[in-house]
Amino acid sequence: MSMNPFSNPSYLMPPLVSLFVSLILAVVIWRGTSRQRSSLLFLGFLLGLGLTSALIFGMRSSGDVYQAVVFLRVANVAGFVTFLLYYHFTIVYTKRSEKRYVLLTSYLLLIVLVGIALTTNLIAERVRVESYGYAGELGPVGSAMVLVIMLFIIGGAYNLFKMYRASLSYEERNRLLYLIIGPVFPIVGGFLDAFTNLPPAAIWGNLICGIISTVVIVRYHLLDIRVVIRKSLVFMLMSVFVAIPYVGTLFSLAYFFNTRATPWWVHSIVILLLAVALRPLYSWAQQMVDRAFYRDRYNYLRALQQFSQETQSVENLNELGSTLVHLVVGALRTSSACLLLVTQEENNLVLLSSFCLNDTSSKVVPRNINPIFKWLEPYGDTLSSKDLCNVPQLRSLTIREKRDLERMGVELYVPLKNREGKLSGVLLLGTKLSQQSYSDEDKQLLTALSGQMAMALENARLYDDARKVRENLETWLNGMSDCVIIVSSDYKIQFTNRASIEGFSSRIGQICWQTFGRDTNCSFCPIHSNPNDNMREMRYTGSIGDRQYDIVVGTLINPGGSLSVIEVLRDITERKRLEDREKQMQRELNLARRLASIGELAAGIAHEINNPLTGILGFSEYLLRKNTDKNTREDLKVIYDEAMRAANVVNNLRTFARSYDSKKEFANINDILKKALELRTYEMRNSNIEVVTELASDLPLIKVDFHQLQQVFINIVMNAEQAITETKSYGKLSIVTKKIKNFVRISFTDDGPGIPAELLDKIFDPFFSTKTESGGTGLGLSICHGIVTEHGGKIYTQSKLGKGTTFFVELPVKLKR
Amino acid sequence: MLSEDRYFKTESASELWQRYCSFIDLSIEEFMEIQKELLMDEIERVADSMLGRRIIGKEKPKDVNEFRRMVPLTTYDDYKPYLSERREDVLAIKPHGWCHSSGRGGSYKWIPYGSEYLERNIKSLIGGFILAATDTKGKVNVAPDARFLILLPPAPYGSGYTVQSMNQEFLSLRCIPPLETTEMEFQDRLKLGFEIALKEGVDIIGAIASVLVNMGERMSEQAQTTKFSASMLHPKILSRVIPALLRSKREKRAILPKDLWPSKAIMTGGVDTAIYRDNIAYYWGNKPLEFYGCVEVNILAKQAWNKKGMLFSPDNVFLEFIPYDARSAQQNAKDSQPATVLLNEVEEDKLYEIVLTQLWGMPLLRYRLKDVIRFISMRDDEAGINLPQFVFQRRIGEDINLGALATLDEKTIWQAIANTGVKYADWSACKEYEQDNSFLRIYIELKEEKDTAELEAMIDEQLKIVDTDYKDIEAYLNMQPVRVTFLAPGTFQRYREEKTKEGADLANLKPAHINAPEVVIQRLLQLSRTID
Repeated sequence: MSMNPFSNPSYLMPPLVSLFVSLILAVVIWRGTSRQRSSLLFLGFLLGLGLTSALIFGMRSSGDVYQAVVFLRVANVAGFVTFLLYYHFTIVYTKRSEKRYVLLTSYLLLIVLVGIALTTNLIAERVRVESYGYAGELGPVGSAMVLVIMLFIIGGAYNLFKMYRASLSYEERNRLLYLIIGPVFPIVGGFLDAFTNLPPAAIWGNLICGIISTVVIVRYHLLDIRVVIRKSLVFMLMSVFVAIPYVGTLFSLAYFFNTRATPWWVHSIVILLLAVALRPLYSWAQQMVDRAFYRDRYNYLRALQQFSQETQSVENLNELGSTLVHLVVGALRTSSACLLLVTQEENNLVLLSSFCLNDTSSKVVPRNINPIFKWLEPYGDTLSSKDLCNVPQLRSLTIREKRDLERMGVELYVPLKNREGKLSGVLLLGTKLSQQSYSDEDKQLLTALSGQMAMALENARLYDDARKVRENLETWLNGMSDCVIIVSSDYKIQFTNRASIEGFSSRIGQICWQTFGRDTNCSFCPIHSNPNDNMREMRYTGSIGDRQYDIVVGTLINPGGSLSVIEVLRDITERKRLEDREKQMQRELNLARRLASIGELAAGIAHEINNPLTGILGFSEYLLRKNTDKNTREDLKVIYDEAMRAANVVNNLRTFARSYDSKKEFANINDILKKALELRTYEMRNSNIEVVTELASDLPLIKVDFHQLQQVFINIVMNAEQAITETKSYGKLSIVTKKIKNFVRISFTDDGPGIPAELLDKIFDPFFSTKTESGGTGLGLSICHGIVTEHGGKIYTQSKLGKGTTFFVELPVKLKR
Repeated sequence: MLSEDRYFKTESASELWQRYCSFIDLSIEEFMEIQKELLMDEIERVADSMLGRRIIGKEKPKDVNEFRRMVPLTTYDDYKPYLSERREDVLAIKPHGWCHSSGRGGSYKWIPYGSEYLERNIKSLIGGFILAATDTKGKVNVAPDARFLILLPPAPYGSGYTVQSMNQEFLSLRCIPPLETTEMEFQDRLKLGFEIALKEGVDIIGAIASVLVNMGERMSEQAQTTKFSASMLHPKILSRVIPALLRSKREKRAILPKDLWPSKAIMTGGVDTAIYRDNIAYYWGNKPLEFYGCVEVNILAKQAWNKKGMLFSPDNVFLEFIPYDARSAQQNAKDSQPATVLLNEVEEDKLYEIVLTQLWGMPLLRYRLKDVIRFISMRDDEAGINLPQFVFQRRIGEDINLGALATLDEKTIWQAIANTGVKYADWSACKEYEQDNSFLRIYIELKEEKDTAELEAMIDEQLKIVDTDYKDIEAYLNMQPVRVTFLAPGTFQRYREEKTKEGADLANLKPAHINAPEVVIQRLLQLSRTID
């Protein structure tokens, strides 16, 4: 019986494809791996697959069934060898030496099978001719062989599974999972071939197993197999979603329109509708699969979505750091995390935030010149703890640094780089709670995330910097005792510092010149001048309310180019008062100097005049005693009186010039005052002047020259007496003594006409007198000033015209020991 | 699973390459950065130890320049009172173990090995295996269960100690002969090793170059006369011998080691590697990867995959170099403190003496190794290497100065003898005088008949090729300075047997090639006369 084998290409092509792919895989293994025993055995497996495929092709393309049976027998033996090699590969790969007896038995069995295949038809009895081509019918030994082949595959998978369970490495476990899944395909294919009438499937299963295993052997870092399963499920779901409406639509059309062939436009419309519906459907399917099979990762993606939302609203750097760390910890399910930030000032690393990282309590922060951080900037990939031993530039890591990092439990180093590519921080992550290693997918996601984190940190830092600058400016301005006011171009107050607020209250938003009580803006206000002009600051002094200010006005160029005006107001009221006081003191000083020089002059004059005057007085007195005529006597009297007057002046001058020694003793001021008043009691009574005294009883004894001080008091009393009698027929003189702090004050207040203000400064000058006509020498108050000053005290006066005058004498208290 | 086994199991080839070999990709700046960082760490670690205080003094150097200025150059004599007693109390760290040198100079140099230092050396050794087993950058042809034929002295010699530690703690290579046999005599271990290798096969070979060549020569010489014995009927041996025999027959030559052991990698150290490179390739099928080691640093440098000049490792010692001038008496004065340069300051084609400071808490500081090297290139653009590459030149004091015109070292003389193509067993050279003229006397045991004058002329001719200075001697002195004395066949073997009986150390089993003591030369002549 014969058939045309080339009438069904879909039947003939699979073994050819399998042969071709197997040979390519063999070349890949040969070139891509070292000549290890396990690699060589796997190479044998691939070559066996190729040989088996070639033999199956031989069977399928055979012209008659007899030839096909021969091919089938040899193909079965080749299949046996192929999977024996696969089993052998798993034993060597997993280092299960205890299985050697199984191998030995299998290889012996192989020799027997070859003999059986060559000499009997116990392996393959015959082939059936089916619609698609030949279908082999196995003999009893053939069926047993298939069973043994299945056992080889299952045994191989078991070996791999045992290794999978013993392995702690994520990478290795992932690879082993791939290797374990590989044999599932030939097993399924084998069962389909054995128990169904479907077209041969084992050949495809074998090929898939070969491809998967080759990829695993050649490539090390594989996509997480769970991701592959997840993606596969999504696509399967999608296929179902697409197939059901598509087939349903076609079926409905055929049913309702009773047509067998669906017109082309129907296909087009259905495909178009499906394309529109597909996108949301795909998302939905993805979500469903994520929820069902990969909840962790699903949460992870959700958390990443949250990331951008949450970080946008955080402006505080520390708060942001904490948010970032907790987001990453939550998303990746890590045991710990720590965010280090590079400081801009010193290019140093500081701890921004941490979560449960071992030993951060002791603030073990790796030094900034640590080679890891040096490496991260130029090379910039996420670094795992394993890489610390691999990267050549990190060979300079010292043992201490390594131990520190180990103690911190860091598993992953994620560089955070800013837009310029500079390292702005480093995220250190501890182990995952699941104790798995970080997968490539984790690292890729972290790499993507790190850019956003760096940007968020950069923004927060800029915000923080700006805030600090503002705070600093405010602190500095508020710390100033001067008022600072910034006025915008529309004359509105934009800023006032604390001193301004205390001085004028906060007036932000008000028009500046109205605020300060002006009718219009200042004529020199530079607010509308050209910003490019070289503006000079302006200074002037002005009063606001009862205070005086030194005011400096300058311009500020705003970011937009417009001008604002800054006014710095310094309150000089107190300074002015002090300056006036200083002037007063200066005047007093000048007076004292003048008195001193006049005193010296007067002493000389007194001395020179005294001698001739003594002669004049003596001779005039002598002549008066003689009997002279009346006219002569009157003339002599005039000479004598004038000479006496001159003698008085000279005497006063001598007193003023203190040309005699003073004698100071402790005395009660009240006593001196009473003695002085006693001397003037008669005159005062005649002049209708009431003397009112209010003498403090607790005055301390002070060291004074009794007579000099008595002279002072008499002079003042006489001045008051004369002032009162000048304008009035009666009057009142009040005398008060009082102890104030460490001096005794004696005040003499009369209700005379008062002294004009312009004369007040001059009354203590020598020879200044308003009573020249009544015979005043103008030395009385000068002498008083001299005596009081010599006692360390001071004398001054207050007067109001028409009201009266008060003389104050203040004498220091020097306690008697 | 040992620590490095795990990496081989779980990491890709590119990761393994990066782990063990990527130091080759460092720039000179990166290399120096690593050196400086680790030196500062070393200072921190050793400065407070008794030995450290003795060498460094009270004040710790704050940077590399201070270190070079403040710390004097040292020799083993500075450490001998402590290290020869193996005193651990003077060290900064507790050592993993102690190793000693070959005792070539008359006494052992005991050196402690710290765990971290040892780890660096072992990683460097594994890197050497990988580089030796490939001629392509990035390709890793070494598996953790590779068969490693080791023809090196056992522990406590430095090389043996490192291999033993590697095998016990880091990488579970299958050592041939097993390391448990270290108590056996070296020759017996060699024999056992080849017997096992005949059964098991060999992936990696670690040996002294001359031993490999010697084995190759003996095998090719004895192949014709070797009879099959019963022990060779073992299936594994047959499966190795028969294809080897067929191959040798096909190529019409004697059976060679490469037929029996198509190894992946050969690593050799020693001055003879450069001389025997081609011979090794002929006998063993692969060009050897030369490494440079000593008891102070087990793997100080090694060649890259292209097997050109050697490259220093950046992380086991801090390197300095004294510009070398063989004629300078000051250079060799014991207490002289010549200026040093760093690796980024060396110049191409110039000679330098190596000064090293061990890292990772080890005790030797600014230690003069007394080895002279020559930098042959500053980079290799073709291979993408940006580090200086060098060849070993000579050991200080092991050279022969002829008429102040040329300085011949062991390597030069050996190369010249090898280049003549004469088959010889061994040789020893020294300087002798004849009427105020100095000349080179070579005592040589030949394996073939040769006329004395003819051999002298041949060696003279080769010396002119190998050493350019040598060419001038004849021109200036008007004489041919090579003198040869033949020793009877078996003289060196007899000498070795004598020394073995005396219990001499491995390094003293054979006479030194250069300037062997007079008593040794006389003994060789006596033995030669006895054999005659």
